[in-house]
Amino acid sequence: MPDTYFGAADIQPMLDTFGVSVTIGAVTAKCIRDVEDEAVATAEDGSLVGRLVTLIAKTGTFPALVEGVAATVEGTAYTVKQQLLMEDGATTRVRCAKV
Amino acid sequence: MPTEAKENLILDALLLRAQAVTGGATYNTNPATKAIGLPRDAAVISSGQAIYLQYVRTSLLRLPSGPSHDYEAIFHAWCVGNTDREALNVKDDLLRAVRAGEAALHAVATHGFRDGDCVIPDPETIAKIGKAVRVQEFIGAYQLTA
Repeated sequence: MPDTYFGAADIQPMLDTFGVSVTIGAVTAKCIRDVEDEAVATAEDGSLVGRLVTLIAKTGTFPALVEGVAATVEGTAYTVKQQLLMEDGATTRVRCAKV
Repeated sequence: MPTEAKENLILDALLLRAQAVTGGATYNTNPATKAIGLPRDAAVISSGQAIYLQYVRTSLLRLPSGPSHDYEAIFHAWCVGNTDREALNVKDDLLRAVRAGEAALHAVATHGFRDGDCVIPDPETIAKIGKAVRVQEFIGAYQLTA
């Protein structure tokens, strides 16, 4: 039996309101996109700053979602690097790297 | 004009060796960027393979007994690739390029030049931005007189 989540029916309509268009595999759906510059590698005396692109999707929206697949976010090509369930698991955080 | 700081001269010599890494039959990688200093702009790190050279610190090697002081300077080479395997290949190519032209480094690091440890500053970079980073240490020794 699949997991059920409190307020699950409200998640996708919420994403549809202020999300951006994302295509992974054969499915296109709206997700929240966050873009953030952050020190991603820090050694003894310095750090490299990288651009983190993260999507928040309703869990289960993209059946083809696995590490390494292509993701198109508003027409820009990315590769999925990691997917992590958030909080109660109703939403999934997807880390993407620009191709 | 007096001679520049030895650390700058060693960095310049390291950059010349890094610039020799150009793929082809000799090297596995061909980093698009080889530069002194770490980039501050995230967009820069997002583009292709790269080697960034960085000065870290200088230490007095021996207590002076005369007018000459012996120093040892440490440098880091940040080797960036699109995969863990590629980053290691960038690091290995840099080491081989340094060995192929080591005389130029000994000309400025007159009291010895060697490579140190290679470390992974953050194993999660590949998940965060799709880049893997290896940091290779180099050590150059030299003498300063008045």
